[in-house]
Amino acid sequence: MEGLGTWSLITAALMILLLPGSLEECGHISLSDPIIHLGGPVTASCTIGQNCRHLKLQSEILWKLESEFQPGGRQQHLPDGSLESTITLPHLNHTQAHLSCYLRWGNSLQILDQTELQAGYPPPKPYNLFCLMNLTINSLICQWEPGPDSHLPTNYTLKSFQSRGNCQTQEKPIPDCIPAAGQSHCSIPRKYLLLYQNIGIRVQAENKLGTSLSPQLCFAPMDLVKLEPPILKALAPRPEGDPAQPGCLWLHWHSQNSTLFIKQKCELRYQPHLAEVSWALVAPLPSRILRHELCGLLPATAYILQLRCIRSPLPGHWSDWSPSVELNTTEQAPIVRLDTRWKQRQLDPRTKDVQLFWKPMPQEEDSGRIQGYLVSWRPLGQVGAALLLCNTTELSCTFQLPLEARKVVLVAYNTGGTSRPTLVDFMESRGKGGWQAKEHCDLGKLLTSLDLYLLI
Amino acid sequence: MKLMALLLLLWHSTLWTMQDAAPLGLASSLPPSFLLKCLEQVRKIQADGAQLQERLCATHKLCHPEELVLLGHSLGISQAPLGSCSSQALELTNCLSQLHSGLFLYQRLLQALAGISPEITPTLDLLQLDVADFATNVWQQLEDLGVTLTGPPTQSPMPTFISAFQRRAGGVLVGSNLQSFLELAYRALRYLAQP
Repeated sequence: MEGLGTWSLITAALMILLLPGSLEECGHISLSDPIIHLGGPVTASCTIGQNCRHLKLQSEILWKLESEFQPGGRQQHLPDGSLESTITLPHLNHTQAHLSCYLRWGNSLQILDQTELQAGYPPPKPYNLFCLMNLTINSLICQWEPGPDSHLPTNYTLKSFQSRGNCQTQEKPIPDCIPAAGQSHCSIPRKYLLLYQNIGIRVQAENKLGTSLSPQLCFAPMDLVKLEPPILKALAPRPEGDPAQPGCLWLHWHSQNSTLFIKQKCELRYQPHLAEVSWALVAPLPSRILRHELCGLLPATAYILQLRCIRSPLPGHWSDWSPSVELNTTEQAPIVRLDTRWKQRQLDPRTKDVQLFWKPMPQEEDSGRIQGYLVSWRPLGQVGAALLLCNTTELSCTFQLPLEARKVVLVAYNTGGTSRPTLVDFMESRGKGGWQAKEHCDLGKLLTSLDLYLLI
Repeated sequence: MKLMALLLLLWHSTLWTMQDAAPLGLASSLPPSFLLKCLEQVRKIQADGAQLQERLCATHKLCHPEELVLLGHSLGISQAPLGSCSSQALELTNCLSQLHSGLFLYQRLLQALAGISPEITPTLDLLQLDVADFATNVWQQLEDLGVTLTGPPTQSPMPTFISAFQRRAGGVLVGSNLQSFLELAYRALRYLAQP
């Protein structure tokens, strides 16, 4: 067996040397179609020419698709003496496959030729053609969906023409726009466009099996203008003379310079930051406003705001939303009543020591945050700013006053302002010195809870 | 001088007040969007023109068209008339025809400025495209109105610029004339667009 093998190899080597060319030149595969419709038939012929007469032309030619033998080859001698085998594969289900023809030679199979089959479909119609006019880069940008994969290299071309009316007639062709390889969008420069006249536009897809066209769009480029997002900002500082309204924000905005010539309308959306609530919308708004007060928001809350604009009343596309602006609404000043008590002690003939206690009593369900308390005194007959005695976050404070001082003012405050002032009148129950608890309620009644609080 | 300007202003305002009663003939036969588009085109060209003037001022220090009147005369840079749009007898088709002729003139003047300078060329090209767009829009509307247009307006000879300076100065003058022309056009179009 081993000897036979050695003999075969030597014979094969001698045969090859004796052949006029290489074995590959002996056989040649030709195809009925270079590109095949996927699932359709393909016919291939493998011909062994006369230059291979050293081979035994009575041998059988065999076919393999990838690694599978394919039966059904019809073999015949041609008038010129060459041998040909023809095979038809009725349903080619590979998008790419190697088809080879072999010759049985001795105990082995010799490959004579191989070809690569390529199969696919004609290009599907591109769809969802969508265009917009970008005035920043001065181009009409169109994009489309190419549709299902045709499995074959496909070229796309955006074909357009200048027209009038409904694009039934072509006035002037616009140069084809060819996208970069693999891209489904293309830009037509401004110089080829009449912005206010209709153009007809469609996408052509082309591969080796055919050509298809998307439905045609007909529009004036300016009617598809997509504006750049407007610029939205907080208005800071707040306009003079405008008191801080709780739950309000001051804004201003303007469109980009390149689109100032376009009449636009805008809409604003906002939502509390980090809250799972949907956007609230305010529309329509002008495209440029120096100051806009947005109210009805929750006080002391961070809000996210965005703005977008569209050409109006002429048609256009909405711009993207502007970058988010995060702003905090003004706090509501505390809405509390302050129930007070005090103790006072005469230190010397002219001075007394006062210890004032208070307790905030909310007047509404949402009475606002209390950041601190202020106690102030205005000497009799003095105009101007009152003298600040305490600024504290505690619920009490100790201060000294002239003996004749009668009243101090107590308020709670936060960034939104101060509560209604509570007037504390010490003359209503002047003590005779020492730490005598002189109870007082600014509304004329004592509260048990306050007593308990003071005892604690 | 100030008195002259005041008189001119008064004359102008009187003129426009009088036009309130002027018959407009075919104005109502225009598509509603046509005048809106025209107004937008005027604003666009005005913005382009302003940019051209700013660039010529910033780049070449040519900021005052009034300093170039003499040169403008010698170069033959003319101002397009728009009398049919601002006279008491404002008539739609005459006004649009004159508007078209004027735009055509400025389009050719802007073409004659080609090669003005690398810094100015992109602005000039855009301006020229927008003027051509506007002219086409008006032309097609005139055709739709059934106005017989035999061809492009009569072509007067274009100025010849023999130096870079002349071309830049020409840019300033054409830009300035175009802005004046557009101001009148805008008023007329806005008047026509009134409901």
